[in-house]
Amino acid sequence: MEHPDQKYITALLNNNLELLDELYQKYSGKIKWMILKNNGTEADAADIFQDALLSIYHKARTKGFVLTCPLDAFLYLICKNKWLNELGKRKGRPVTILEDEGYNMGEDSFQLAEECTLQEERLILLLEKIAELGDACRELLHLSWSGLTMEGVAEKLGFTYGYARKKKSECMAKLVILVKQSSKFSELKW
Amino acid sequence: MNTDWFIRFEEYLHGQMGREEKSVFEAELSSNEEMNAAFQVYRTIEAEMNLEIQQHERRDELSRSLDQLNGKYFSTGSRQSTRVVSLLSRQSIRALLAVAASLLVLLVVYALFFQSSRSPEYLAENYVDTHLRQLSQTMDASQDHLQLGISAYNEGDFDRALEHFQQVLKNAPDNYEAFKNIGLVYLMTGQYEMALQQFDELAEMENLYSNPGKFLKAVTLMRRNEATDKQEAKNLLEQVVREDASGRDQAEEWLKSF
Repeated sequence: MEHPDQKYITALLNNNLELLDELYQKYSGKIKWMILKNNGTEADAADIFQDALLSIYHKARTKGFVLTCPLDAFLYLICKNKWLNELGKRKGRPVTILEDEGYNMGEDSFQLAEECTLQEERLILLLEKIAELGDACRELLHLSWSGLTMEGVAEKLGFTYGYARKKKSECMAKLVILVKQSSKFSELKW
Repeated sequence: MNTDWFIRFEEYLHGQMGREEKSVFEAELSSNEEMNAAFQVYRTIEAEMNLEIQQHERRDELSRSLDQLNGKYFSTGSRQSTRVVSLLSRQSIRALLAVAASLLVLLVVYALFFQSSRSPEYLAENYVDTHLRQLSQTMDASQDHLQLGISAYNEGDFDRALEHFQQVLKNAPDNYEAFKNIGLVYLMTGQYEMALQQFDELAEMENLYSNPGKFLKAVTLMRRNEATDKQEAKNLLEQVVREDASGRDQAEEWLKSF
């Protein structure tokens, strides 16, 4: 069932500054506190909070996304994961086990946070692998993902329609192979 | 891996198969594990990348709003201003840069087709990068805080720069340079409301040989690019041209793009 906090998800999707301001007012303080308490600075908190909102936006823009839990628990879990990752990278600093004080962590919160993280990691892997393709493949794929039909892609590149289709299938085959060969592939749900 | 599969994946996902062909394809997917696994990855890549490429402008707009709110709710200082917010965490920036570099040629072609590079927001961003990221040192050695503020500004340490410029104003409230530079700090750190207020007041200052207040206010509005900002910026640029104020040549050039 859709949670009333879905309005904040819609605000992210529509870039509704008024509601986003309300979201910051309600939740940024808790995240700031959590990060300051755990070896971070206010600038770290700002980065983490913003990254987390963009991750949620990324998840939310996929068709059919519905927030079924309170936003604060979901947002907190994403921020916490991001901050633990960041602390892990900063060697030499002690990592305090973050306490989930005052949050009602339902199963939905954990599941949504995990999906959000997986989606972001999939995209990171994809971008890495696309960068490994040749120029011609990258150009063709970019055009095809930009919303053009394959006829449009063929026209832009001066190909026949048949050749453009064939070329795209070859490029996608290469990309799928690269992705599947990655050590991270099995951890991410496709 | 069979590349013919991929042509069929494309046809299936774009609704280009007839009913019978679709049933055969679905049956084959159910019985062929390798083909099914490749299809799942293909479908995910298509979905993710279509969104990523087609909605990057919306995401960038959201990033700018979040930047603005970060400025309001966090004391982030220079770090926030220099940070380019991306959908992805910092670990992915290298990958993004690689993709971005490889797509540069495409973007140039795209810009030629759609002229997006002439948008007021782009013009402002470009102007900020080329003209406002570094300030010239003044020749007046007695104004220590001003010099120190400018040095800090040029190093991207906007918190420290702001402190020095405010100190200058404490000692000399009518110091136009410090007043302007405070506005620039706000502009660089995405605190647009504060920047607009500062440049408004600057525009009101009299007895200046050349007052850039209105022009800088227009730059701020163009960079912020909210609902009525473009029109307001245009009005200001027209005033700058009419009054032959500071920034006139640039204003005239930009007005051609509005």
